[in-house]
Amino acid sequence: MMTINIDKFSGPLSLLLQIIEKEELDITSVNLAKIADEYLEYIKKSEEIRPEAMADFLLMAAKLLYIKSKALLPYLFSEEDQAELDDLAGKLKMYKDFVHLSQKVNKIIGRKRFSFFRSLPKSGRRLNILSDCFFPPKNVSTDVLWTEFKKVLENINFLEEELEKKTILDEVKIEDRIVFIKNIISQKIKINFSNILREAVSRTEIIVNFLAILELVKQKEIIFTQDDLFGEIFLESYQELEIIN
Amino acid sequence: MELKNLLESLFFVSYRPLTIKELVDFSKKDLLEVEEAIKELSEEYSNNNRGLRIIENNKKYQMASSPENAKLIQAFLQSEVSGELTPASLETLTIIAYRGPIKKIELEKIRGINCSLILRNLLIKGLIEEKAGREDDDNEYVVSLEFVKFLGIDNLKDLPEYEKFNKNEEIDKLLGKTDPLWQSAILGEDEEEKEKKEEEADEDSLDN
Repeated sequence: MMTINIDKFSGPLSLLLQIIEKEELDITSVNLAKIADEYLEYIKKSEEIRPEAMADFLLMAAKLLYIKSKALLPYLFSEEDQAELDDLAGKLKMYKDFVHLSQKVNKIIGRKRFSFFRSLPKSGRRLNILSDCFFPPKNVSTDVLWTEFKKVLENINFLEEELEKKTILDEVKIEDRIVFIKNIISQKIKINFSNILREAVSRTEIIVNFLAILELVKQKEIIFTQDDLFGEIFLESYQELEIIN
Repeated sequence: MELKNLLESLFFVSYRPLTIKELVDFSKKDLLEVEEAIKELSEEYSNNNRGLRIIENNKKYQMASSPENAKLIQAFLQSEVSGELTPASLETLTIIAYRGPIKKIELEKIRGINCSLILRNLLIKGLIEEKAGREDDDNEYVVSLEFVKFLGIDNLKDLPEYEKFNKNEEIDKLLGKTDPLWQSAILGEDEEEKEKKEEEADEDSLDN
């Protein structure tokens, strides 16, 4: 883990700048692509980021991943995208300028060359307090105030509307499904996807199963075939296939 | 009565900052004359090793003790200001000082993070001022005279590289600033005048 001591309020640009400077890189989109992983790693582990600020940090993460994907697959991006990416580098440079200025301002304040204004004399201050006070008219009694206050209370409309609350349940774990599918594949040479879904009760579970398969394909554990659009998906063990061939 | 002389007396007796408008009204002279007189007066104080300064911010002026005597005056007033700021406050104040009047959205573009909370904090501390716009989003922020006081300078123009960062095409471009009214908006301009100008501009654009 890198040793970056970010002030927790300073924000994603500040984090980005610190990583870039630590790596001694210039601010260019190419270099921003290089540090995307480091940035992600930091926000994943950091406990310093306030939850309210997290959205801003994640937005920056998305931008960095976008830049990184462009570095890997340049032919998929238009010139318009390029302008947007250069924009981030430009913004980071601008931010850097202001950070440096703020360090200068801090030095200026640090000299403690404060000026002071004339302060109000004590008698003047007392007068001021009096004029700021509320003097009720003579015919106002506590009863009158109480009735008026009740009227105010009655006029407040309470908002009854409750916002819908929904949390996605942690029904199935993708890790469990991967193990499950691996087990089946190791026993049978070929299996169809609907077979795996037989026990699935919710949409989430179906999605998780599908993600598990994608992950296994990526890890070269299995391969899949599908003959028609929306047709049955068949799964085979990657190793089995190699032996057969 | 000489204008400079009159202004000096006004600054002396006033416990609060005086706006350029007030000074023009009291002296019954025109704006340029008053501004010139204040400038002369202010330079007399800063160039002649005097114990007083005229500090200006946002077209508000106030007489203050000169920064050389800070330590002593602080002890005399039993003031406990330390001038210490969190990095986020410092960053935000710097941007507002160099770029003010600035809208919240522009500040957020520069800092890359939501600034509602920090702005509220600085407002409460009296380090910045809010100038209400027509919509909430149009509110503009400037640093206060209280903040300038901490810097020991006569006005923000004395900050390092102020001109460079105050008027900067590169920054304007990155902030997506296209509104020409913004550029022409004069610090401390009377709200009514400003609105009138905007209305005129609106009418102009309708005519086209």
